[in-house]
Amino acid sequence: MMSTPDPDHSPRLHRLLGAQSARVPAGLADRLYRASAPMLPENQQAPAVLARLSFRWVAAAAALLLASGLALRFTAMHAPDDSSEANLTAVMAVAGDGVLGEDFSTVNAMQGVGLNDLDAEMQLLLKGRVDG
Amino acid sequence: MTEPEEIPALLARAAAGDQLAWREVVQRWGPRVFAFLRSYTNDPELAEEIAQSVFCTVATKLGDYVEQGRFEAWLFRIALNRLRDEMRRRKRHARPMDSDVLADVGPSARQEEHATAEELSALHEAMQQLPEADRLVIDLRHQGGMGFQQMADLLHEPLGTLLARHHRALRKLKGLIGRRLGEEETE
Repeated sequence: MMSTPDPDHSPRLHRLLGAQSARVPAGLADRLYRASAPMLPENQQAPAVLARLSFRWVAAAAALLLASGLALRFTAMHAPDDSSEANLTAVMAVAGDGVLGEDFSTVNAMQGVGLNDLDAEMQLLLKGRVDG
Repeated sequence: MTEPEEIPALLARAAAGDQLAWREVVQRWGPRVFAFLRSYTNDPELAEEIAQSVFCTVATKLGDYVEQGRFEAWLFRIALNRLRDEMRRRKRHARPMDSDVLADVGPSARQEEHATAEELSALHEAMQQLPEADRLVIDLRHQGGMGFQQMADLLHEPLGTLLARHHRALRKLKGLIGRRLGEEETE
């Protein structure tokens, strides 16, 4: 391939060299192209753009999650708690009957465990009633 | 095919991501790089593997390449470095040519009708007997299709030195092949 015939050299040698260079596998250029085209500078930017987009998406998703969490928390803080309301009503009813006194063990027994907060709240309510 | 004077524009288009331009670059130089590598390794699969690596590297760095008429020297320098790295890594020696090498060839193999497998085998054996520097010049010139100036740029050697080496290498090759085939040349 591309060799310049030289009268000082063998035609057979040039023929052999040319024949050897011509032995190119079928589809070679296509395979080389497919393997290398994604490496072109312009194509290398695609992953970078994708990465930026991904970061934005991640940031947007994180912001959305945060906002959702805050909204849920706000809702939970301001929404009426039916169970607490019912518990409080029951306790108030018991207290109103005058059978409770300062001993809230009955309340605890009635409402079950885990009512420390409600217990404290009742203490305040009753204290206010006594003070009033 | 792009004319030589249009090559800088072709490379610039390819560097800008023009897929058609890059395809033309690969079509233009791919077979030559492959032929150079295959002649050196005598292993078409390994040659293609290295050629893929070469063109991936060129595609990656094409954006930084400043065209000064030395694209071929740059391309073949990458190919030569890859080749040497690979041969060092694999410690692989050239193996005898087998019939599969001749089977998997494309339309351009028509020229091969004029060269028998025995002749090509003789050529390969003769090439193996050449000193490394002589063989490199022959391969770059006749398999890679490089011009002497490009070779001088690539190898950082004076043009006259390369011309003389090429001349001597061809003479040695001619003698080796003649002895191997046991025939007298009919010029």
